Amino acid sequence: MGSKLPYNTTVVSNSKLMKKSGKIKQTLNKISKQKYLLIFVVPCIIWFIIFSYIPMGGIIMAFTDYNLADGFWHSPWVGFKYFKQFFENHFFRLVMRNTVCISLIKLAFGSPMPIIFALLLNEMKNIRYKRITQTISYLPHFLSWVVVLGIVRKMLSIDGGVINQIAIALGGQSRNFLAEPEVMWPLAYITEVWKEAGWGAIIYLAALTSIDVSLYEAAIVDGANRFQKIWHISLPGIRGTIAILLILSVSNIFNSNFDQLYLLGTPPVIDKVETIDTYIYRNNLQNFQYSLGTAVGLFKSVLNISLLFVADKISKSLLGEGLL
Amino acid sequence: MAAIRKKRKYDTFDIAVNIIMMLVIFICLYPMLYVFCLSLTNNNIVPTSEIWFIPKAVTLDNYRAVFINSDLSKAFSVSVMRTLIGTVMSTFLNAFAAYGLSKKYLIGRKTFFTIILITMFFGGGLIPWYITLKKIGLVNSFWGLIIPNLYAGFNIIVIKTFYSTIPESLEESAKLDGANDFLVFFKIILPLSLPVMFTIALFIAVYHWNDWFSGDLLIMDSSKIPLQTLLVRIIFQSQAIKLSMMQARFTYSPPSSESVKMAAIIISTVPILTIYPFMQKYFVKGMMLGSIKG
Repeated sequence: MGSKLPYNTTVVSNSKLMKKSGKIKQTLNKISKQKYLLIFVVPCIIWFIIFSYIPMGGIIMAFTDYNLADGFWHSPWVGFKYFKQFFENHFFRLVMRNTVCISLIKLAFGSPMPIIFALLLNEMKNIRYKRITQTISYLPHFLSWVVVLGIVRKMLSIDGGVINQIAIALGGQSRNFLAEPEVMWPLAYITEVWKEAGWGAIIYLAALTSIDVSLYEAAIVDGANRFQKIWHISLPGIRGTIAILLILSVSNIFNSNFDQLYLLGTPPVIDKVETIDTYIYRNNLQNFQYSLGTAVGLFKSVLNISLLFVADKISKSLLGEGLL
Repeated sequence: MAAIRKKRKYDTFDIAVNIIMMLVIFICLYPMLYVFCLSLTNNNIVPTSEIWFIPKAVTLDNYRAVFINSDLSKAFSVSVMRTLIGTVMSTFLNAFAAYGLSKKYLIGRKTFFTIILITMFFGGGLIPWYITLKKIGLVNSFWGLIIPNLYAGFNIIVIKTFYSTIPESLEESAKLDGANDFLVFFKIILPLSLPVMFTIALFIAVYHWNDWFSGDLLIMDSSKIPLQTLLVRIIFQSQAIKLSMMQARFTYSPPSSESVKMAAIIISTVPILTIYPFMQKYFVKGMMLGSIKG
């Protein structure tokens, strides 16, 4: 009791108050010790609040007649008016059909491609050749869709493009492929595989290298041939990776490759190419139909999240593993 | 029985695979080769139908035209600035955040983490995002191309995972010597995490260089648009390319606008192709890291 207390302090004997001020002091002390870490992290959180959470709040626009003057929070409430509007819109049904069909085509026929490619790469005996092939295979991933479709446009051009030249040489005729609606879905699929299969294979290759080598050796002893080894060891060995990526793909069915489909979306083929994402940009943002566009976007997000949970449940019951 | 020797016997399967891979290489490279050849030719002189594997009537006119054209050179410099600034800022900022979040004793760590994680699965959609940017004033601004893309949950998680593999003892001994978190980060953690940093930097750089959408969405002034956005307008939206005849001596005049488009495409690909061999090393390592975390 010989300590000199500054000013005229009264010793507070209420232990609760002491604990609280002690705790606050403790926290402040902790903060000051971690100040650099917090300087590193807090701006990041603020950024996320501004650029992710405030827009999330903007979802309310889907239920109001948004106008710039009233802003997010004060525009008049209209409930499900805009949802009804797009459900009843004939063009919107086309948009839904396109979105789902294109995604399903890419899911069904596109997903196996990186897997098959990875399996084949894995079988290559010449390491240098394997590495060169792999490196070249993911080069297209680094090109923008502007470049890729610019190249495609030239190759398919009715005015001497390579593909038409081959058609002519085989006795056929030159066609303006990019103006034919029926070409669009296969084209979207093919160009996406060209661009992304090599890149997608990287993850599967990484997973393949983690398979226990002794499994293969045991299979050889049992007399397995190449195909059997792939089917019974390599494939099951990466099934976890396959499952996760499949679940993610399923939860993205209502999304679409905006860059690709927007650039392919010319008037003659628009009925087959317009998807939810391009529709929101072209018709809603550019026409100032903000509430409608937000409603459509919200509808899409809800569908995707539901699919995520369903796919995860199915995967867990079938394979025993899932994402969530 | 003698010790089993590893036999490098090539069976038909191997031959088939090797042939398939040759096809893969061809299919991946040919489209670019084709456009490259077209870019060295003047479409007005040599019809496109004659070009298959090699250019004819080779000329650099198309490339000259791109460089003289003020729209294209301006857009090119916008893209370069945006990529450099955006990549450096984002890489460091994501690394900072990842470092802070990797410390288990950080105050509020769980909350911060949840905040970031949720944004990876759910968002407001395009329109609320656009309106937010508008209200902040990032519309029609160069910084609108960079600031809305500063952080990404994926990048932060990948870097953070890497940091957790660095032994804590290194940091502890530095702290015993009196270093604070700031110094520890720059002198110890950063030098050790170069592969991850390069990989993330590459992802971000490729994103910025290839992004045409932000430019289309946000920028009104044609002097501020990035290269890819201008390419979209020229190639897909029939915007005219101004070809000033006065300033250059063309080998064959006039250069065909189709051929100039090809040169523009090649030029926009060159930066990526130049970094490619260097980054290749860090790349597959970085990707494997990212996939293991998955």
